[in-house]
Amino acid sequence: MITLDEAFRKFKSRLELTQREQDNASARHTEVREYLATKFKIDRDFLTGSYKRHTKTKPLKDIDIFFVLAQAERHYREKHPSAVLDAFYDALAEKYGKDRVRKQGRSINVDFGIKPDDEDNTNEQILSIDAVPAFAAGDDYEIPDNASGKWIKTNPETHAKKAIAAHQAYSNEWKGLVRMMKYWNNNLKHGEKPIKPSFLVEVMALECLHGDFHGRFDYEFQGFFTTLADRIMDEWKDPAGLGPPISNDMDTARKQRARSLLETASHEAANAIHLARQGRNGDALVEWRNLFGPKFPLS
Amino acid sequence: MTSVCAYSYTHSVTYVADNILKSLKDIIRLSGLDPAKFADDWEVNQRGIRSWLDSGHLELVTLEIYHPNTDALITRWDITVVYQWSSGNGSFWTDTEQLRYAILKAGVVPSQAKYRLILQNKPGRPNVDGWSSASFRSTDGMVRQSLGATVQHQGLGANAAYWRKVG
Repeated sequence: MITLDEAFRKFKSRLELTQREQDNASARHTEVREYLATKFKIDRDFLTGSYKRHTKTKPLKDIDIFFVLAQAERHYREKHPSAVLDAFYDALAEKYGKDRVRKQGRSINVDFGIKPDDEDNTNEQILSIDAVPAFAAGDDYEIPDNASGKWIKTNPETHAKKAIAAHQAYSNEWKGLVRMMKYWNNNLKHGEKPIKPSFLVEVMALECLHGDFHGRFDYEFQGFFTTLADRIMDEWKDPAGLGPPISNDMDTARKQRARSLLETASHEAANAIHLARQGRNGDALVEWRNLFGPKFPLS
Repeated sequence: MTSVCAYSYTHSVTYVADNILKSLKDIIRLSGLDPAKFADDWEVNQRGIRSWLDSGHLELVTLEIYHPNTDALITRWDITVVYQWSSGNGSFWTDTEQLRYAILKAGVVPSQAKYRLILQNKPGRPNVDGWSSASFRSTDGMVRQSLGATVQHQGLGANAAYWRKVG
Protein backbone atom coordinates (compact mmCIF):
# COMPACT_ATOMS: atom_id res chain seq x y z
CA MET A 1 0.00 0.00 0.00
CA ILE A 2 1.13 3.52 -0.74
CA THR A 3 2.53 5.39 2.28
CA LEU A 4 1.10 8.72 3.41
CA ASP A 5 4.21 10.58 2.29
CA GLU A 6 4.07 8.89 -1.12
CA ALA A 7 0.36 9.78 -1.39
CA PHE A 8 1.00 13.47 -0.69
CA ARG A 9 3.91 13.55 -3.14
CA LYS A 10 1.78 11.89 -5.81
CA PHE A 11 -1.04 14.34 -5.06
CA LYS A 12 1.39 17.23 -5.39
CA SER A 13 2.74 15.94 -8.71
CA ARG A 14 -0.79 15.50 -10.06
CA LEU A 15 -1.29 19.25 -9.58
CA GLU A 16 1.89 20.19 -11.43
CA LEU A 17 1.60 21.40 -15.01
CA THR A 18 2.35 18.89 -17.73
CA GLN A 19 4.06 19.85 -20.98
CA ARG A 20 0.79 19.27 -22.88
CA GLU A 21 -1.04 21.64 -20.53
CA GLN A 22 1.64 24.27 -20.94
CA ASP A 23 1.47 23.85 -24.72
CA ASN A 24 -2.30 24.15 -24.67
CA ALA A 25 -2.13 27.21 -22.41
CA SER A 26 0.44 28.76 -24.73
CA ALA A 27 -1.72 28.09 -27.80
CA ARG A 28 -4.79 29.54 -26.11
CA HIS A 29 -3.17 32.72 -24.87
CA THR A 30 -1.47 33.24 -28.24
CA GLU A 31 -4.86 32.89 -29.90
CA VAL A 32 -6.48 35.41 -27.55
CA ARG A 33 -3.70 37.96 -27.62
CA GLU A 34 -3.31 37.82 -31.40
CA TYR A 35 -7.02 38.41 -31.72
CA LEU A 36 -7.13 41.28 -29.21
CA ALA A 37 -4.17 42.89 -30.97
CA THR A 38 -6.49 43.33 -33.96
CA LYS A 39 -8.96 45.24 -31.78
CA PHE A 40 -6.72 47.35 -29.49
CA LYS A 41 -3.33 48.99 -29.63
CA ILE A 42 -1.31 46.85 -27.24
CA ASP A 43 2.27 47.59 -26.20
CA ARG A 44 2.91 44.13 -24.80
CA ASP A 45 1.14 41.23 -23.21
CA PHE A 46 2.36 38.59 -20.81
CA LEU A 47 1.23 35.66 -18.75
CA THR A 48 0.96 36.50 -15.09
CA GLY A 49 -0.86 35.53 -11.89
CA SER A 50 -0.67 32.14 -10.27
CA TYR A 51 -0.04 30.36 -13.59
CA LYS A 52 3.16 32.33 -13.99
CA ARG A 53 4.07 31.81 -10.31
CA HIS A 54 3.46 28.02 -10.56
CA THR A 55 0.84 28.18 -7.82
CA LYS A 56 -2.10 27.39 -10.10
CA THR A 57 -4.06 24.31 -9.15
CA LYS A 58 -5.99 21.82 -11.28
CA PRO A 59 -8.24 21.84 -13.23
CA LEU A 60 -6.29 24.57 -14.97
CA LYS A 61 -8.52 27.61 -15.43
CA ASP A 62 -8.59 31.41 -15.29
CA ILE A 63 -5.01 31.88 -16.51
CA ASP A 64 -4.24 35.62 -16.29
CA ILE A 65 -2.91 37.49 -19.31
CA PHE A 66 -2.02 41.16 -18.85
CA PHE A 67 -2.62 43.32 -21.93
CA VAL A 68 -0.62 46.51 -21.48
CA LEU A 69 -2.45 49.06 -23.60
CA ALA A 70 -0.57 51.57 -25.74
CA GLN A 71 -0.74 55.37 -25.55
CA ALA A 72 -3.40 55.38 -28.29
CA GLU A 73 -5.77 53.68 -25.83
CA ARG A 74 -4.98 56.06 -22.98
CA HIS A 75 -8.49 57.57 -23.18
CA TYR A 76 -9.78 54.48 -21.37
CA ARG A 77 -7.64 55.40 -18.37
CA GLU A 78 -9.59 58.62 -17.99
CA LYS A 79 -12.93 56.77 -17.93
CA HIS A 80 -14.71 54.55 -15.43
CA PRO A 81 -13.00 51.10 -15.31
CA SER A 82 -16.13 49.51 -16.73
CA ALA A 83 -15.50 51.21 -20.11
CA VAL A 84 -12.37 49.23 -20.96
CA LEU A 85 -13.84 46.04 -19.49
CA ASP A 86 -16.95 46.52 -21.66
CA ALA A 87 -14.77 47.08 -24.71
CA PHE A 88 -12.76 43.91 -23.99
CA TYR A 89 -15.99 42.02 -23.37
CA ASP A 90 -17.54 43.14 -26.66
CA ALA A 91 -14.41 42.26 -28.60
CA LEU A 92 -14.05 38.80 -27.05
CA ALA A 93 -17.79 38.06 -27.26
CA GLU A 94 -17.60 38.78 -31.01
CA LYS A 95 -15.05 35.97 -31.42
CA TYR A 96 -16.07 33.44 -28.75
CA GLY A 97 -19.80 34.16 -28.32
CA LYS A 98 -21.54 35.69 -25.32
CA ASP A 99 -22.05 32.28 -23.69
CA ARG A 100 -18.29 31.78 -23.43
CA VAL A 101 -17.32 35.26 -22.23
CA ARG A 102 -17.97 36.70 -18.77
CA LYS A 103 -17.33 40.10 -17.22
CA GLN A 104 -15.44 40.01 -13.93
CA GLY A 105 -14.36 42.75 -11.55
CA ARG A 106 -10.93 43.27 -13.09
CA SER A 107 -10.87 41.10 -16.20
CA ILE A 108 -12.84 39.31 -18.88
CA ASN A 109 -13.04 35.54 -18.60
CA VAL A 110 -13.04 33.41 -21.76
CA ASP A 111 -14.29 29.85 -21.24
CA PHE A 112 -13.16 27.27 -23.79
CA GLY A 113 -15.98 24.86 -23.00
CA ILE A 114 -13.83 22.08 -21.50
CA LYS A 115 -15.50 20.05 -18.72
CA PRO A 116 -13.44 18.11 -16.13
CA ASP A 117 -14.36 14.46 -15.56
CA ASP A 118 -15.09 12.90 -12.15
CA GLU A 119 -11.35 12.74 -11.41
CA ASP A 120 -10.91 16.44 -12.31
CA ASN A 121 -9.04 15.50 -15.50
CA THR A 122 -9.43 17.69 -18.59
CA ASN A 123 -7.36 15.73 -21.10
CA GLU A 124 -4.67 18.32 -20.33
CA GLN A 125 -6.73 21.15 -21.83
CA ILE A 126 -7.03 24.48 -20.03
CA LEU A 127 -10.55 25.61 -19.17
CA SER A 128 -10.37 29.39 -19.42
CA ILE A 129 -8.24 32.53 -19.47
CA ASP A 130 -8.71 35.95 -17.84
CA ALA A 131 -7.85 38.88 -20.09
CA VAL A 132 -6.72 41.80 -17.90
CA PRO A 133 -6.48 45.27 -19.47
CA ALA A 134 -3.62 47.28 -17.96
CA PHE A 135 -1.61 50.46 -18.31
CA ALA A 136 2.02 50.83 -17.37
CA ALA A 137 2.60 53.11 -14.35
CA GLY A 138 6.35 53.44 -13.90
CA ASP A 139 7.59 50.04 -12.82
CA ASP A 140 4.05 49.05 -11.79
CA TYR A 141 0.74 48.63 -13.58
CA GLU A 142 -2.75 50.01 -13.22
CA ILE A 143 -5.74 47.75 -13.81
CA PRO A 144 -9.49 48.49 -13.74
CA ASP A 145 -11.45 47.58 -10.61
CA ASN A 146 -15.13 47.69 -11.42
CA ALA A 147 -16.29 47.17 -7.83
CA SER A 148 -14.58 50.30 -6.50
CA GLY A 149 -14.90 52.23 -9.77
CA LYS A 150 -11.17 52.97 -9.60
CA TRP A 151 -7.98 52.00 -11.34
CA ILE A 152 -5.76 50.11 -8.91
CA LYS A 153 -2.04 49.60 -8.91
CA THR A 154 -0.45 46.19 -8.96
CA ASN A 155 2.87 44.58 -9.69
CA PRO A 156 2.87 40.90 -10.65
CA GLU A 157 6.68 40.82 -10.67
CA THR A 158 6.75 41.72 -6.95
CA HIS A 159 4.19 39.01 -6.21
CA ALA A 160 6.32 36.50 -8.13
CA LYS A 161 9.48 37.49 -6.21
CA LYS A 162 7.71 37.03 -2.86
CA ALA A 163 6.46 33.61 -3.93
CA ILE A 164 9.96 32.55 -4.98
CA ALA A 165 11.42 33.74 -1.65
CA ALA A 166 8.73 31.89 0.33
CA HIS A 167 9.29 28.74 -1.74
CA GLN A 168 13.03 28.78 -1.08
CA ALA A 169 12.56 29.50 2.65
CA TYR A 170 10.23 26.51 2.88
CA SER A 171 12.59 23.88 1.43
CA ASN A 172 11.08 24.34 -2.06
CA GLU A 173 7.77 22.86 -0.89
CA TRP A 174 5.79 26.13 -0.54
CA LYS A 175 4.31 26.23 -4.05
CA GLY A 176 3.26 22.58 -3.80
CA LEU A 177 1.41 23.17 -0.52
CA VAL A 178 -0.25 26.28 -1.94
CA ARG A 179 -1.46 24.32 -4.99
CA MET A 180 -2.84 21.57 -2.75
CA MET A 181 -4.58 24.10 -0.49
CA LYS A 182 -6.09 25.83 -3.53
CA TYR A 183 -7.30 22.44 -4.73
CA TRP A 184 -9.10 22.03 -1.39
CA ASN A 185 -10.51 25.54 -1.82
CA ASN A 186 -11.85 24.68 -5.29
CA ASN A 187 -13.49 21.41 -4.16
CA LEU A 188 -17.04 21.37 -5.52
CA LYS A 189 -18.32 19.98 -2.20
CA HIS A 190 -18.02 23.51 -0.79
CA GLY A 191 -20.31 24.98 -3.44
CA GLU A 192 -18.86 28.46 -3.60
CA LYS A 193 -15.11 28.70 -2.96
CA PRO A 194 -14.52 29.34 0.78
CA ILE A 195 -11.57 31.69 0.23
CA LYS A 196 -11.88 34.34 -2.47
CA PRO A 197 -9.95 35.25 -4.47
CA SER A 198 -7.70 32.18 -4.67
CA PHE A 199 -4.81 34.63 -4.48
CA LEU A 200 -5.79 35.23 -0.84
CA VAL A 201 -4.76 31.63 -0.06
CA GLU A 202 -1.35 32.48 -1.46
CA VAL A 203 -1.10 35.79 0.40
CA MET A 204 -1.99 34.10 3.71
CA ALA A 205 0.48 31.30 2.94
CA LEU A 206 3.31 33.85 2.73
CA GLU A 207 2.92 34.30 6.50
CA CYS A 208 1.17 31.13 7.68
CA LEU A 209 3.51 28.54 6.15
CA HIS A 210 6.33 29.29 8.50
CA GLY A 211 9.32 27.58 10.00
CA ASP A 212 10.71 25.59 7.06
CA PHE A 213 9.22 22.34 5.83
CA HIS A 214 10.21 19.45 8.07
CA GLY A 215 8.85 16.57 6.02
CA ARG A 216 5.41 15.91 7.51
CA PHE A 217 2.65 16.89 5.06
CA ASP A 218 -0.02 15.77 7.56
CA TYR A 219 1.09 18.15 10.33
CA GLU A 220 1.87 20.94 7.88
CA PHE A 221 -1.68 20.80 6.52
CA GLN A 222 -3.30 20.40 9.93
CA GLY A 223 -1.47 23.55 11.05
CA PHE A 224 -2.10 25.36 7.75
CA PHE A 225 -5.88 24.74 7.88
CA THR A 226 -6.04 25.74 11.55
CA THR A 227 -3.95 28.89 11.13
CA LEU A 228 -5.99 29.99 8.11
CA ALA A 229 -9.18 29.43 10.15
CA ASP A 230 -7.81 31.48 13.06
CA ARG A 231 -6.62 34.33 10.86
CA ILE A 232 -9.24 34.52 8.08
CA MET A 233 -10.88 37.49 9.83
CA ASP A 234 -7.61 39.51 9.67
CA GLU A 235 -6.93 42.09 6.99
CA TRP A 236 -4.48 40.74 4.39
CA LYS A 237 -2.67 43.43 2.45
CA ASP A 238 -1.43 43.34 -1.15
CA PRO A 239 2.09 41.82 -0.90
CA ALA A 240 3.30 44.41 -3.43
CA GLY A 241 2.00 47.17 -1.11
CA LEU A 242 0.16 48.84 -3.98
CA GLY A 243 -3.46 47.80 -4.31
CA PRO A 244 -6.31 47.43 -1.81
CA PRO A 245 -6.13 44.58 0.74
CA ILE A 246 -6.59 41.20 -0.94
CA SER A 247 -9.07 40.25 1.80
CA ASN A 248 -11.44 43.07 0.75
CA ASP A 249 -13.28 40.69 -1.58
CA MET A 250 -14.71 38.81 1.41
CA ASP A 251 -17.37 40.31 3.66
CA THR A 252 -17.87 39.14 7.25
CA ALA A 253 -20.42 36.45 6.33
CA ARG A 254 -18.04 34.93 3.77
CA LYS A 255 -15.17 35.01 6.24
CA GLN A 256 -17.29 33.26 8.87
CA ARG A 257 -18.28 30.60 6.33
CA ALA A 258 -14.62 30.12 5.33
CA ARG A 259 -13.59 29.86 8.98
CA SER A 260 -16.18 27.17 9.62
CA LEU A 261 -15.07 25.12 6.58
CA LEU A 262 -11.39 25.53 7.48
CA GLU A 263 -12.12 24.39 11.05
CA THR A 264 -13.89 21.33 9.65
CA ALA A 265 -10.87 20.60 7.46
CA SER A 266 -8.57 20.94 10.48
CA HIS A 267 -10.77 18.49 12.37
CA GLU A 268 -10.73 16.06 9.41
CA ALA A 269 -6.95 16.32 9.25
CA ALA A 270 -6.74 15.47 12.97
CA ASN A 271 -8.96 12.43 12.35
CA ALA A 272 -6.78 11.31 9.43
CA ILE A 273 -3.65 11.68 11.58
CA HIS A 274 -5.29 9.68 14.35
CA LEU A 275 -6.23 6.88 11.91
CA ALA A 276 -2.61 6.68 10.73
CA ARG A 277 -1.41 6.65 14.36
CA GLN A 278 -3.62 3.59 14.90
CA GLY A 279 -1.98 1.88 11.93
CA ARG A 280 -5.10 2.30 9.76
CA ASN A 281 -3.23 3.69 6.77
CA GLY A 282 -5.92 2.88 4.18
CA ASP A 283 -8.60 4.63 6.22
CA ALA A 284 -6.28 7.61 6.70
CA LEU A 285 -5.81 7.90 2.93
CA VAL A 286 -9.59 7.82 2.42
CA GLU A 287 -9.99 10.58 5.02
CA TRP A 288 -7.40 12.78 3.29
CA ARG A 289 -9.10 12.12 -0.07
CA ASN A 290 -12.47 13.13 1.39
CA LEU A 291 -10.83 16.29 2.65
CA PHE A 292 -8.98 17.32 -0.54
CA GLY A 293 -10.92 15.77 -3.45
CA PRO A 294 -10.52 13.18 -6.21
CA LYS A 295 -6.92 13.95 -7.15
CA PHE A 296 -5.68 12.75 -3.74
CA PRO A 297 -4.53 9.16 -4.46
CA LEU A 298 -5.56 6.02 -2.62
CA SER A 299 -2.93 3.86 -4.32
CA MET B 1 -18.38 -11.78 25.11
CA THR B 2 -18.38 -8.08 24.34
CA SER B 3 -17.54 -5.26 26.72
CA VAL B 4 -18.29 -1.60 26.77
CA CYS B 5 -16.72 1.18 28.78
CA ALA B 6 -18.84 4.23 29.49
CA TYR B 7 -16.92 7.41 30.18
CA SER B 8 -18.22 10.16 32.41
CA TYR B 9 -17.42 13.86 31.98
CA THR B 10 -15.12 13.51 35.02
CA HIS B 11 -13.08 10.86 33.16
CA SER B 12 -12.67 13.28 30.27
CA VAL B 13 -11.70 16.16 32.57
CA THR B 14 -9.02 14.04 34.23
CA TYR B 15 -7.61 12.81 30.93
CA VAL B 16 -7.58 16.23 29.24
CA ALA B 17 -6.16 18.06 32.28
CA ASP B 18 -3.39 15.50 32.77
CA ASN B 19 -2.44 15.55 29.10
CA ILE B 20 -2.48 19.34 28.86
CA LEU B 21 -0.01 19.38 31.76
CA LYS B 22 2.16 16.65 30.21
CA SER B 23 2.12 18.49 26.89
CA LEU B 24 3.21 21.73 28.57
CA LYS B 25 6.02 19.90 30.35
CA ASP B 26 7.14 18.51 26.97
CA ILE B 27 7.03 22.00 25.46
CA ILE B 28 9.19 23.39 28.28
CA ARG B 29 11.72 20.57 28.07
CA LEU B 30 11.89 20.41 24.26
CA SER B 31 12.20 24.20 24.05
CA GLY B 32 15.45 23.89 26.00
CA LEU B 33 14.20 25.00 29.44
CA ASP B 34 14.38 23.34 32.84
CA PRO B 35 10.96 21.87 33.76
CA ALA B 36 11.82 21.68 37.50
CA LYS B 37 9.72 24.74 38.46
CA PHE B 38 6.81 23.40 36.43
CA ALA B 39 7.08 20.03 38.18
CA ASP B 40 7.13 21.82 41.57
CA ASP B 41 3.89 23.63 40.69
CA TRP B 42 2.24 20.51 39.24
CA GLU B 43 -0.32 20.05 41.99
CA VAL B 44 -1.62 23.62 42.00
CA ASN B 45 -1.63 23.74 38.19
CA GLN B 46 -3.52 20.47 38.03
CA ARG B 47 -6.02 21.72 40.61
CA GLY B 48 -6.76 24.85 38.60
CA ILE B 49 -7.07 23.16 35.22
CA ARG B 50 -9.20 20.30 36.54
CA SER B 51 -11.50 22.51 38.60
CA TRP B 52 -12.21 24.97 35.80
CA LEU B 53 -12.53 22.25 33.14
CA ASP B 54 -15.02 20.56 35.43
CA SER B 55 -17.03 23.77 35.91
CA GLY B 56 -16.78 24.55 32.18
CA HIS B 57 -15.09 27.93 32.75
CA LEU B 58 -11.61 27.20 31.39
CA GLU B 59 -11.02 28.76 27.97
CA LEU B 60 -7.28 28.98 27.53
CA VAL B 61 -4.12 27.58 29.13
CA THR B 62 -1.15 29.76 28.28
CA LEU B 63 2.54 29.22 28.84
CA GLU B 64 4.41 32.51 28.56
CA ILE B 65 8.14 32.22 27.93
CA TYR B 66 9.83 35.55 28.61
CA HIS B 67 13.19 37.25 28.90
CA PRO B 68 14.50 37.28 32.51
CA ASN B 69 15.89 40.84 32.25
CA THR B 70 13.56 42.72 29.90
CA ASP B 71 10.45 40.76 30.91
CA ALA B 72 9.44 40.78 27.21
CA LEU B 73 7.68 37.80 25.71
CA ILE B 74 9.97 35.47 23.71
CA THR B 75 7.24 33.07 22.70
CA ARG B 76 3.94 31.89 24.05
CA TRP B 77 2.06 28.60 23.82
CA ASP B 78 -1.74 28.55 23.92
CA ILE B 79 -3.85 25.49 24.63
CA THR B 80 -7.45 26.36 23.79
CA VAL B 81 -10.18 24.21 25.34
CA VAL B 82 -12.93 22.84 23.08
CA TYR B 83 -16.17 21.77 24.80
CA GLN B 84 -18.06 19.31 22.61
CA TRP B 85 -18.31 16.51 25.13
CA SER B 86 -20.46 13.53 24.26
CA SER B 87 -20.80 10.27 26.20
CA GLY B 88 -21.11 8.15 23.05
CA ASN B 89 -17.99 8.94 21.05
CA GLY B 90 -15.49 6.55 22.61
CA SER B 91 -12.36 8.10 21.15
CA PHE B 92 -9.47 9.64 23.03
CA TRP B 93 -5.89 10.49 22.14
CA THR B 94 -3.02 12.87 22.75
CA ASP B 95 -0.81 13.84 19.82
CA THR B 96 2.59 14.33 21.41
CA GLU B 97 4.29 13.98 18.02
CA GLN B 98 2.44 17.05 16.72
CA LEU B 99 3.98 19.19 19.48
CA ARG B 100 7.46 17.76 18.89
CA TYR B 101 7.13 18.60 15.20
CA ALA B 102 5.98 22.15 15.95
CA ILE B 103 8.82 22.77 18.44
CA LEU B 104 11.28 21.52 15.85
CA LYS B 105 9.97 24.27 13.58
CA ALA B 106 9.62 26.92 16.29
CA GLY B 107 13.17 26.35 17.57
CA VAL B 108 14.60 26.38 21.10
CA VAL B 109 14.56 29.46 23.34
CA PRO B 110 17.49 30.95 25.31
CA SER B 111 18.20 28.66 28.26
CA GLN B 112 18.01 31.55 30.76
CA ALA B 113 14.41 32.34 29.72
CA LYS B 114 11.69 32.15 32.37
CA TYR B 115 8.16 30.86 32.06
CA ARG B 116 4.81 31.03 33.81
CA LEU B 117 1.37 29.50 33.38
CA ILE B 118 -1.80 31.60 33.00
CA LEU B 119 -5.33 30.21 32.88
CA GLN B 120 -8.02 32.27 31.19
CA ASN B 121 -11.58 31.61 32.34
CA LYS B 122 -15.05 32.69 31.38
CA PRO B 123 -16.65 35.19 33.78
CA GLY B 124 -18.09 33.77 36.99
CA ARG B 125 -15.40 31.17 37.65
CA PRO B 126 -15.30 29.67 41.12
CA ASN B 127 -12.17 30.43 43.19
CA VAL B 128 -9.45 27.77 43.37
CA ASP B 129 -6.72 27.74 46.01
CA GLY B 130 -3.33 28.92 44.79
CA TRP B 131 -4.68 31.01 41.87
CA SER B 132 -5.03 34.81 41.61
CA SER B 133 -5.59 37.38 38.85
CA ALA B 134 -2.90 38.10 36.26
CA SER B 135 -2.46 39.90 32.93
CA PHE B 136 -0.94 38.60 29.73
CA ARG B 137 2.34 40.02 28.47
CA SER B 138 2.02 41.98 25.23
CA THR B 139 2.01 40.03 21.96
CA ASP B 140 2.65 43.16 19.86
CA GLY B 141 4.73 42.31 16.82
CA MET B 142 3.89 38.62 17.10
CA VAL B 143 1.54 36.31 15.21
CA ARG B 144 -0.10 33.05 16.18
CA GLN B 145 0.74 29.74 14.50
CA SER B 146 -2.10 27.32 15.17
CA LEU B 147 -1.52 23.57 15.16
CA GLY B 148 -4.98 22.04 15.60
CA ALA B 149 -6.27 19.40 18.01
CA THR B 150 -3.62 18.00 20.35
CA VAL B 151 -5.72 16.35 23.11
CA GLN B 152 -9.12 14.72 22.65
CA HIS B 153 -11.39 12.75 24.98
CA GLN B 154 -15.05 12.20 24.09
CA GLY B 155 -15.15 15.59 22.37
CA LEU B 156 -13.61 17.49 25.28
CA GLY B 157 -10.37 18.61 23.76
CA ALA B 158 -7.54 21.08 23.46
CA ASN B 159 -6.04 22.84 20.43
CA ALA B 160 -2.44 24.03 20.51
CA ALA B 161 -0.86 27.16 19.06
CA TYR B 162 2.32 29.17 19.55
CA TRP B 163 3.22 32.80 19.01
CA ARG B 164 6.24 33.98 17.07
CA LYS B 165 7.79 37.30 16.18
CA VAL B 166 6.98 38.65 12.70
CA GLY B 167 9.82 39.33 10.30
